[in-house]
Amino acid sequence: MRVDELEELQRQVLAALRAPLVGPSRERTELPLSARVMPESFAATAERYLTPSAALTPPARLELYHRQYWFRLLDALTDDFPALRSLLGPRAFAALLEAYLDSAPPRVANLRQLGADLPAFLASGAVTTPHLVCAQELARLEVAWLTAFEAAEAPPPTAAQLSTSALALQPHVTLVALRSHADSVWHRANESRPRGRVRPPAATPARFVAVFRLALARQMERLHPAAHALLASLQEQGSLAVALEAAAPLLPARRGSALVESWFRKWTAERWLALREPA
Amino acid sequence: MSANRFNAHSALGVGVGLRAPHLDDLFAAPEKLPLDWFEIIAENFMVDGGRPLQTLEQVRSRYPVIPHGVSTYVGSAQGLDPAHLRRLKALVRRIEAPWVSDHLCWGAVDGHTSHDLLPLPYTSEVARLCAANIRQVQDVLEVPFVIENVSSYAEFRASTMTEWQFVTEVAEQADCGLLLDVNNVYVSSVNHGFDPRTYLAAIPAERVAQLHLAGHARFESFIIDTHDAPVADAVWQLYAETLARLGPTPTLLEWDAQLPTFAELLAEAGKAAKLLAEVTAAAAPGAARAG
Ligand SMILES: [Fe+2]
Repeated sequence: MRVDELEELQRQVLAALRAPLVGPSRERTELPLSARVMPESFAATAERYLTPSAALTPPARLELYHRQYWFRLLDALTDDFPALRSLLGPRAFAALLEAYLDSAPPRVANLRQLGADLPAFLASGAVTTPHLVCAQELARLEVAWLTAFEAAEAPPPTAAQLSTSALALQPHVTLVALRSHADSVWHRANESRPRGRVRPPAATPARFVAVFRLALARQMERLHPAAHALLASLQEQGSLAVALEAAAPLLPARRGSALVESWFRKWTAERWLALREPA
Repeated sequence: MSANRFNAHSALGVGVGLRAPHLDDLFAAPEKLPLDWFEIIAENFMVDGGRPLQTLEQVRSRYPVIPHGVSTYVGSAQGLDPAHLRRLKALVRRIEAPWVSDHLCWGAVDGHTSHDLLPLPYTSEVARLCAANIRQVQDVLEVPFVIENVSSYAEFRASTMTEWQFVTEVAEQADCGLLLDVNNVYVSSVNHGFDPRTYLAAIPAERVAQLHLAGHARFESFIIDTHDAPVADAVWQLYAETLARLGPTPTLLEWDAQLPTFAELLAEAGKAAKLLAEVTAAAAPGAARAG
């Protein structure tokens, strides 16, 4: 078997693993019933490349890998998006994951990054999902939560560098703007899970939140609209002067500058800010 | 005696896989647990910051930690992923790993990964490809890179040799060590109908750097390598025979799903430690030969 023949074998087998989950294998998951059938190419690939064993035909042997492929990926995504699952319910959630995995094969080595493109997939309009806006926002919050777990910590600016250097947010900090009650859904879904400090749901929906890491514990916190504008501008452009200008119209008429000072004290103490990497 | 150049002449005994739900018990434990070392899934710690790296430092301050990769894919026809190798090397440097292991398998093509350890056709050309890839990994990592036999559920029509001949040919051509997973040999022996003792006897003893033990799930006509149960009796028997052949060898108990309590895990590891201690005593200089 030449290397180019091995490459073709690997390409065909991997394509077979991506075939839809059907029959008894599907019934072992939370996927909804489906009229999908196994493409004929699945059995053809199995027969072409595999031998039978005493007990199993080539397609039955390949099926052991096929179901394992789907179970592993569905399990990993289910672990990572508990709030989205609680919003959609198990069946619609599993159907979303199936559509996501169908749309693009996984390309990441770390299973924790498998869902990184789920917010973009939801935003692309490729699927119709109940509570679409809330679902998109929850997906972003949950990706931010995963990011806060293991993202890098960049060197923070010194007090002098705050006004003289180009700034950015630390890689573990994610800003999320909300139009739905996503933060309450997120809090409710996570209440029973010991994953860092969780605050009780508030009566009014948050419009802006930050997800970040403090002393290795992950947190989600509401942001004042002006604080969000300031941080978003820093993230995008890096200039403190520009960011202050962006926030100004959203600040209360009185004591606005005291508010901004208190935010910077907090962000410095909690290491939200970083020096901007040279482009 | 399996202290050799592939495991930095290690005298490590029994270790277990490091799993997040056990960390509290591990850190709350008195100074010294009856465990020699921990194995980590390398990819889980090839990250930029946060809790994983801090946990790693905490564990490392008390125990040796050996990284075990699951996505180097030395059997990949398209070759290795340079970014993966760079990140693996950074981890090896960070924790001063004495050796690194990964599997003799493939799992990705065209940038698409299966997150599985897929078996290879056993031919001379494929062995040559694997050996060339392994040599490249060794050149990058600069510490011994040890390859593990995977369990499998399928065999390829293209194979022209047995799995044990293939594993041996790859190891010799690459001049690398072996992580012999005794449970995987047993699982594959049932699935493919060969004698696990023929396999184990054929493995070049001087290349075995480490052993793996794990539990599996038995179905009517096949076994799935689930790592979610205690080690099966048949595998304990093969482990004891393997130790008798190889001498004391660093051994790692894998348990990845349906995790037991930390105490139960230690008890299961203790069974391996007992068998290992018997072989170590027998192999010690001055051990009684005659009765
Ligand atoms: Fe193993």
